[in-house]
Formats: sequence, C-alpha cells, structure tokens
Amino acid sequence: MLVKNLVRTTMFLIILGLLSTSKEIVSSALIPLLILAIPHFVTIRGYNLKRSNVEFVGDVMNVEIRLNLLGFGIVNVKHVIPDSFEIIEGSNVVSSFVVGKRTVSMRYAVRAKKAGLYRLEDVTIDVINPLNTWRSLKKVSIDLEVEVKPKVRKIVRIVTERTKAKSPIPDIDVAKIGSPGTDFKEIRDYNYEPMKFINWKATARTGSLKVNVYEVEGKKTIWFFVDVNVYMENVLDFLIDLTASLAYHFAKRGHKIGMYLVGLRDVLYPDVGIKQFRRILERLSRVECGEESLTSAFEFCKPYLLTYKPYVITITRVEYSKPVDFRSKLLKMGLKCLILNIKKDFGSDFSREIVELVRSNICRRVMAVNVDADRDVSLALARLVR
Amino acid sequence: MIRGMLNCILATLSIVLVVESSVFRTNYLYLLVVIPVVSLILRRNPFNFPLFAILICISLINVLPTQTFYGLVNILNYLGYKVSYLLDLFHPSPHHIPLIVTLFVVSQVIWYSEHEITIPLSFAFGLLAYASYEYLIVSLDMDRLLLGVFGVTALTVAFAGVSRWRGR
Repeated sequence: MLVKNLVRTTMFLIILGLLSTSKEIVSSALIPLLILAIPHFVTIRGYNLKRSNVEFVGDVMNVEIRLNLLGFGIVNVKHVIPDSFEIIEGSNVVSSFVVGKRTVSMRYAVRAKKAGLYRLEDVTIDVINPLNTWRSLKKVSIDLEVEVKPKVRKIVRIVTERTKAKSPIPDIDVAKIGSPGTDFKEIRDYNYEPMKFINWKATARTGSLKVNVYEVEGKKTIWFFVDVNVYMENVLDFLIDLTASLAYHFAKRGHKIGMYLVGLRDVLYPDVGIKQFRRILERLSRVECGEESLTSAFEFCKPYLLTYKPYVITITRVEYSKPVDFRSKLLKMGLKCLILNIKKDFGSDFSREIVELVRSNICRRVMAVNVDADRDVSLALARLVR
Repeated sequence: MIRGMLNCILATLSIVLVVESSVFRTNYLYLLVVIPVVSLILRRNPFNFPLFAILICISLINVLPTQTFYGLVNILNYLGYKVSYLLDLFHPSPHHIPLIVTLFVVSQVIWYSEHEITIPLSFAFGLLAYASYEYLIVSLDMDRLLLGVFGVTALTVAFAGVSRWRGR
C-alpha cells in the first residue's frame, strides 16, 4: 500500500509538473522515488539446526536454529511448528535488523500434545525494507520428520472394584483356532485332519474314521474396533492412549490382537506379541479422522470375526455411533463384546443434560461401559481390566 | 493513535508552510487544519493524498509563472483577450513544494510502518527536514536532488544504527 501511494504521489507530481512546465514540481517527484530506491537484500550463508529427540506424547523437544545472514534489512525468521506441539519455552519467531553479517538464533522448547507423524516445516525468512516499502520471502528447507508415539499407561489393578461389563474378561478364554495342544477335547468324525490325529480304536469300534481333537494352544483373540470418525476428534488423544494401553495389556498376556480403525477402513490382522503391539502403536500414531458406520465396519470385518471368533472391544462415543445394531449382530454371531463409551461433556448445562439422557439410554441398551475422558487413562483402565 | 497524531502534526506544518508562502492573502486557508483533525477523530490518516493534492495545487501558484505561462498569456493577448494583467498578478516567489512532498512521504512511511523504530525515526527526519530546509535551500542554495539523496541516506543510516544498537 505504501509503495502504491508513493508511486501515485510521483505520478501526480510528474503530471502536474509537465502540465505547468514547472521544473520544481518535476524534481520534487524524485523524493518518493528515492524512498522506493532504498535497497534490501539478505542472503543465507548457512544454518545449523539442533534438536533433542521426542518419542512419546508429553515429551519435550528442544530446538535451536542458527542462521548466518548477510545483507541489509529487517528479517523476521519464523519456524512454523505443527498444531499438535505446544511451545513451553522461548519463541519460534525472531526479528532482527541485519546490516552486513549477522547470526540470528532462535531457541524454543515444545511439548508434543498428540501422537502422529509430523514434518517440521521450512524456516521462513521474511526480509523487509527498513522503511517497509519492499519485502521478499526466503525459505530454508529442513527435511525433518518427527514421530510421536502415544503414551502407554501402566494399568493399576483394583480387584475390589467390579466392572460394569457383563462379558467375562477374556484372560481365561482360549483361542478357537491355532496349533493344537496336548489337552484332549473330544472325538469327532474325520474331516481331512492330519493322519496322526486319527483315533484307530474309535474308528474300529464305530466303522467310520474318527479323530482326536485337542484344545488349541494360545489365548483368545482380542479384536479392537477403534472408532475414529470425525465426532471422535475431540477425544482422539484419549482414545489413542486408551487403545494403546489396552493393546499393551493384552499383548503382554499373550493374546492375539487384531484392530480395525472405523472411519479409515484400516484393518490390522490378528497377531501375537510385542511386535504386534508396535504395529498397533504405529497405526494409532498416524491416525486421522474419517467417516464410516459401525455396521459397515462389522460387514467389512465379518470374515475375520468368523475365522478368529475374537473377544470384541469397541471404543466409541455411543451418543454418535449408536451401536445397537452393531452389538446385536455381534451377539448373533456368538461373539462376546465390550463397548467402551468415551464420555466427554461439551456445551451448556442444558445441552449436556440432553446428551447425557441420550447417552445413558444407549449405554443401557448396549451395556456399554463409560470411560471418562477427563480422568487419567490409568484410572479409566483400572476399572476395566482386572 | 500515535501515528495519527504525528501525521496530524506533519499535515499542520505543511498547511502552515503553504499558507505562509502564498503570494496572496490566504489566511482563511488555515481552515484546512480541520481536515487532519477530523481525519484523526475518524481514525483515518490525517495527512491523506487529497489533502496533499490540495496543498500542492495551492503551492502551484508560486511556481506558475514559467515560460509556458508567459507564452500562453502572449497568445491570449495576441488573440485580443487582454489578459496581460495576469503577468502582474502571478510572479515567481519562494515555495516549499519539496518540503511538503518530503513531509507527505514521511507521513506515509509512519502510517504504514510495521516496526516501532520506524515511527520516531521518520518523524524526527520530517522535523529535521522542516527545521533545516530554509537554511539548506535558501542560505546555502544546495541542489534539491542532492539534498534528497543525502536526506534519504541519512534516514537509512540512522535507522540501521538505532536498530543495531537496540539489537545488542
């Protein structure tokens, strides 16, 4: 705007000077031009970036950027950080006047608020003319990726507190499929089992091929339906923490764990061990909100549910997902399920009461367990897992 | 608000310069001071372009008697219009056009400045130009263009020096 005004002033004086053939007025037109002629330039002669590592949500990352600049002008250096980072010390913006050589340094500390894979953006240098007439933008490209993992909480066991879920805790359940163990279960008709399982005595007695069936080794498979629809955005951090902590709990106890991210149509096939937990952690740390119904998720996962007969844990907000049909379909299939409702209140007292009414009605119908998002995840887990 | 007040001062100085250097008795032109004051109250730039244009047009009277003007009067006389009294009415007189332009440019820099240092420095530069103009132009008879280059360079150096000093 300043440049436009100065150019307009110059043009006005020149035209007026020419019309009146006045040398004084034409020469006065040079004054705004002289202001516009003040140069500004800055070259980046090198930079140095130091940062500490950040691994989990809540960790602090210290960043130090030093820029060696040469030139003339006001420089505003800015390092844009992702929204999920909170500055706790220093500043990510620094302003300085550069005349000749100058080292501009910026130091700040950020805390990771949310899990995910983040890219630290380029450092932008806004070079402004001292009289604010011209400006130019320069960038220092920084190719840096930061992966923040969700924090896995330690589960505090409270034996005396009863859970509200009707389904038994799957710790004592056994798997439906897997390698046969040594515990005898029953004698069944032959159905292309390995020859070593044929019970020759029973075959001779009955006249048809009979096989011994043994209990399958391993514990019951746990299947997580993690609802990451858009309505979960406000409780996403809590959801990730809760899922990760539950997955860790079951992984440590030798359960096979599978996961489906409702909204992203992302399925993780059941597997056992800490490696599987890491896979879950990786998926959770990169999660973004999508859109999908629980019924559609059920249809998508039906083949896996039929194969593994898992214990289903669904984490959602029942007032939005309304999982009545979903639960009845699971029960029809003969699967045990636990629905965890993440409870978080927003808005006025009146709207809260309305939402609470709807929520409690659905919770009663689907026998969901309320988990308060405002409480610590460890405390919430203590109520769930014995 | 501070920008507006400083610009109001610069606008008032320019009006005073124009009225004082006018060939005719134009004391009623002091009423032009109302424009920056009203603009200040309305939170607009007190030294805006229309006011500047009015001041320059008034100052034009001082520099109007050029060769073109004489030629035009002669042509009109030749055509029988009898306008030779205009030659007595308008005669070259001292003017402050470069200073008014400088004050206007300074006011624009102040109004659009993003850095707090720019405001006092530019205003100081404007006041210095106002105070020294008479001495430099009239007494020393310095070249106006050279003076402009010298002034802008001085402003830039002052700006750099103060910024550097504050940066330490």
